[in-house]
Amino acid sequence: MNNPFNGRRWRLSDPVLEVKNLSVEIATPSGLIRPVDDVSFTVEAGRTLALVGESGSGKSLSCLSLLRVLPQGARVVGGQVSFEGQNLLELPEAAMHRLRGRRIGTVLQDPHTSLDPLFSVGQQISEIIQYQQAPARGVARERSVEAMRRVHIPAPAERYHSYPHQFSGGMRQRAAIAMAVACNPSLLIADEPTTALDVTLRMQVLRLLAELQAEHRMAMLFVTHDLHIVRYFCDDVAVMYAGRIVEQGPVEQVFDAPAHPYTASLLQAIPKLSRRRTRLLAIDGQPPAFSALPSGCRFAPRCPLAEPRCHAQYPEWQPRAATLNGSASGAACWRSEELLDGRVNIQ
Amino acid sequence: MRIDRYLAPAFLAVVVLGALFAPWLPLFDRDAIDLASALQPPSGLHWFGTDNLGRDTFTRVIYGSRTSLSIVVAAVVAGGGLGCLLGLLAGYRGGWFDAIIMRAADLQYSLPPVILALVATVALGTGMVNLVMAISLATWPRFARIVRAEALHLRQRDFVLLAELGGASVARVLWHHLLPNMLTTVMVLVTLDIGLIVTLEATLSFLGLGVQPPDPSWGTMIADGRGYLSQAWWLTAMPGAVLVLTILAVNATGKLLRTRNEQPVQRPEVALV
Amino acid sequence: MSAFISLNDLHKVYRVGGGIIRPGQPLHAVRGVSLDVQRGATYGLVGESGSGKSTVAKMVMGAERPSAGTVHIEGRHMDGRKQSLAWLRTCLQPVLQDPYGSLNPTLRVRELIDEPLRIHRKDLTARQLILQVNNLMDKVGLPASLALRHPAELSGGQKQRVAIARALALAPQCLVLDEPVSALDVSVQAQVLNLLHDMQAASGLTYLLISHDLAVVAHMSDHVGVMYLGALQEQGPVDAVLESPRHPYTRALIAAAEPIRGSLTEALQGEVPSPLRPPSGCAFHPRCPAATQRCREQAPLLRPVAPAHFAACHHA
Repeated sequence: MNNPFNGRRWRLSDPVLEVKNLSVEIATPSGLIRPVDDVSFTVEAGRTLALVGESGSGKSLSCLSLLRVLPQGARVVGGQVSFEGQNLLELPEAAMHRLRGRRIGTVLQDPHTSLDPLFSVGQQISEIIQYQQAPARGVARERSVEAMRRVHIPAPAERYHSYPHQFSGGMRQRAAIAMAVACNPSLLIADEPTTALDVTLRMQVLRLLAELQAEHRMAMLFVTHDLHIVRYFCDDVAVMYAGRIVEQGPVEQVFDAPAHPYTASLLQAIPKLSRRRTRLLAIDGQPPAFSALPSGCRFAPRCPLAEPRCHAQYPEWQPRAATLNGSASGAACWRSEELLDGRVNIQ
Repeated sequence: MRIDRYLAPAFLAVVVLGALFAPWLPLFDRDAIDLASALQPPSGLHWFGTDNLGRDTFTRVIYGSRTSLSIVVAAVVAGGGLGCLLGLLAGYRGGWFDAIIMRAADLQYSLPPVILALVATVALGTGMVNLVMAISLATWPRFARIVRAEALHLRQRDFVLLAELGGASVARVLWHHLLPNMLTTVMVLVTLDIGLIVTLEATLSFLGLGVQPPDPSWGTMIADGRGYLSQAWWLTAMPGAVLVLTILAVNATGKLLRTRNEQPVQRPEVALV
Repeated sequence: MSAFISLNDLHKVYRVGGGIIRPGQPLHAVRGVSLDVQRGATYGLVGESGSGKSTVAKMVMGAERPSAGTVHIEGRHMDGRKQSLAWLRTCLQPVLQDPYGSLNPTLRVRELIDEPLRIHRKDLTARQLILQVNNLMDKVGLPASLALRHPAELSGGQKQRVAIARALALAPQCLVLDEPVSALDVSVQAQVLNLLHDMQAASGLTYLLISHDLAVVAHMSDHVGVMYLGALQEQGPVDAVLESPRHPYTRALIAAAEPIRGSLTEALQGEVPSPLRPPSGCAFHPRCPAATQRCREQAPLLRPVAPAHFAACHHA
C-alpha cells in the first residue's frame, strides 16, 4: 500500500500562507487584552505547520482571525495575512466569503457538532460544492459522492442520504473532512481534528489527511496540544505561549533539540511509554492571565533558567541555523544558545 | 451606570415601600367619606382623584397595594415552596413520587388558573387566607414541572453522584446540591409568576370573590370603577396602571437580577484560544 | 496475601431504549472481567470508547451494581447493601474525570472539601473542620487563599486538586481514578500525576486508574489491563505488557500512542463496533490483521502466556 508520508519532502516550496505580526485584541471587563500578539509564521504548499500550545496560548484564536471569524469584541489590530498573494485582512467580506470553504478549508474538533443534524451528509457536502462551484444539480451530487469516497466512507452512493446521527464518530469526522476538501482548497486549517476521537481512529484520520495533502499539495495548519501527533504528522512546528510564538522550526529540529525552555519543559512533561514509575518534570504554576502579563519574558516567572534580564526585557528572536526550506526557525529566549549547546539544562 | 436599567427596581422599591409604610405616610384617611369631594379628577390635592364616596384614590391605591402585595408574597411562598418541594422529589426520586406528583400537576394544569382559583374560592369561602390558598393551588404545578426538569438534569451531574456515593442524605442532596444550582431558574419562575398571581388576585377580587369591601385592593378598585368609566376614568385607570406597571417592573427586575447573578461567561481568552 | 480489590467475573448489562411494554435491548457493557489490585500498587485499566473500563470503575466505587460476578474489597464482599456501601466509603474514594462537573459550582472550596467530614464525622467542631481542610489543601498543593473561592474561579488543575483533596478527606486507603488528567493541559497533567505519585509514595495508597491514554497508564501503573468492548484482552505487569504485548489490540494501542514519524504505524481499520451489536467470536476479529476463521467463531479466553501475563487471543 502506498505510504502517503513518503511524498512529503518538497523543498523550497511556495508559501501559501504568510502571517506577519498578527495581533488580535479583545475587550474584556478588565480592559483590553491581546491573546494573539505579534504572531508570524509561514505555511508552504504540501507541508504541515503545527500550532502547538496549551489552553489560553492563542493558537485557536490565531486561526479564527485568519479566517476573519472572530468572536464578539475581538478585532485584529495589526499585521498582515498573505494568502496566495492577497492580504486577507484587507479583503472585503464578500471576497472573504468566497475564499472560505473554497480556497481555505476548515476541520474542527468535535465531529458531533460540525455537521448539521437536520440534513443528510451527502446533501451537506453537495451544498458546499454547489455554493462554491455552482455546477449543475446532478453534478454536485456526483462530486459529493466522489468526495465521500475520497475520505474512505464505505458505500458512499448509498450513504449519501444518511444523517449524521447514523454515522459513527469516525465517519462523521471523515464527512467533515470531505466537506472541508470538497473544493480542493490550497490551505486546510485543522483545529484539534483528532482530539475527540479514539486513539486507533486518530491514526486513520491522520493518514487520510496525509493522503489528501499529498494528492493536491495542500498546505495544512494543524492546531493541537498533542506533541506525539506533531512529531508524527507535522513538518514544522510553532510553539505558542501566552499569545506569542516562543519557538519555531522543523519538527525534528525542535523536538530533538528544543531552543526554548518552555518547549523543553513540555517535552519532558509528557508521559512516555518507556519511562515508568518516576516523577515527571512538571513546570510549577500556570500561564499568566492576559490582563496581568509580566514585563519581560512571559514564561520567565515559571522558567527554571530565568535570569534578571529575562524578567526585565522581552527576549529578542534568536534565529537558528537556516534549514533547507528556509522557514523562520528560532526561539524567543535570551539563553537559547546556551540551551542548545548543552551548557544549561532545564532539569 | 445606566439610569434606565434601574428604573424598574426603583419603581418596585417605591411601590413596596409605599405599601409597607402606608400607615405612617401623609395620606388621606382611607375610608373617610366626603361626598362633597366626590368624583373629582386628578389634581394637586388628590393626585389620583377621588371616587364616588369622596375617598382619595391615591390613598386607596397605596393601601390596596398592601393587600395585593401581601397576598402575592404569601402565594409565592406557599405555591412556590410547595411546587419546588414536590418538583425536587419528583425529579430526584422518580418512580412513584414522580408519577403521582406529575399526574396531579397535569390535572391541575389542564384547568385554567382563573377557573381553578375561582372554584377553590367558592369552595373555601372568601377571605385573605383562602385567597392565598386558592392561588397557591393554581400556581404550584408550574413550579413543580420546571423544578422537576431541572432536577432530572442536575442529578446526572458528577457532583451529585459523588455526594450520593459519599453518603449524603436525600435532604442534603436536595438542599445543598440541587436547589442552589437551580436558583436562577426558580427566580425567573417567581418573577414570571408574580405577574400571574397579581392578576389572579385582581381577577378574583374583581369578581367579588377575593378581598371584601371596604378593604381596597387593586382588583376591587378596578371593579368598582367600572360603573364610572365615562365620568371618572381615573377610578379604574389609576389602579389599573399601577397594576400593569408593577408587573412590568417585576419582570424587568427579575431579568436584571438574572443577568447579574449568572456565572460570568468564561473569559474569552480561555474559551477560544 | 489477598488483594485489596478483587473482581471476579464481573458483568454489567444495561437495557437500552426500552419502554413500559417492551424491555430495551441488552447492552453488555462489561463481560466477565476478573482482576486483582494489590495493596499499595496501581492497576491501570486502559481502553477506548465502549471498552467498559468506566463501568468497571463505577462498579468498584459502588455507583453501579454488577449484573453478575463479585467485587471484594479487602476481602469483604460488596453486596450493595447499605452497610457495605457505608464501609466502602471509609476505605475507597473516587476521583472523576471532569473537574468542571465533579464540583458543585455553588459551593466554595472549603465547603466542597469538608462535605465528607460533615456527613461522617459529626464529632468534629467547626474549628477542627477548618483545620482538617487546611491540612488537606496543603497535602494537595492548594494555597490556603483559595479556600473561599468558587470552582469557576479556579483553573482546571486546581479544580482537580480540590477533587483529590475531597477524596482524601476520610483518609481512604484506595482511590479509584477515572480519567483523572484527561481534561487537563500537558503541564498541569504532569503536576497532578506527580502529586498522585508522591501521595502514593508517602501513604501507600492503592490506585485503580482508568484512562484511554496508554502513556498515562504506563507511567503510573504497576499492572495493566487492556479492555476492548467490555472484556479484558490482555493483562499483566506493565513492563511485560508494554515490552512484549501478545494481543494485536495492545500492539495497535502501543503503536498509536507513540507513532513513529514517516511510518504507516499499522493503522487499524474500522472503528470500535457498537456494544449493542458485538461481533461473533473474538470481539476484535473484524479489525484484527491476523484474524482467522477460528477467531470469527470462537471467543478466546484469557489465558496465561507468561508468568502473571494473560492474553485473550488464539494466536498469542
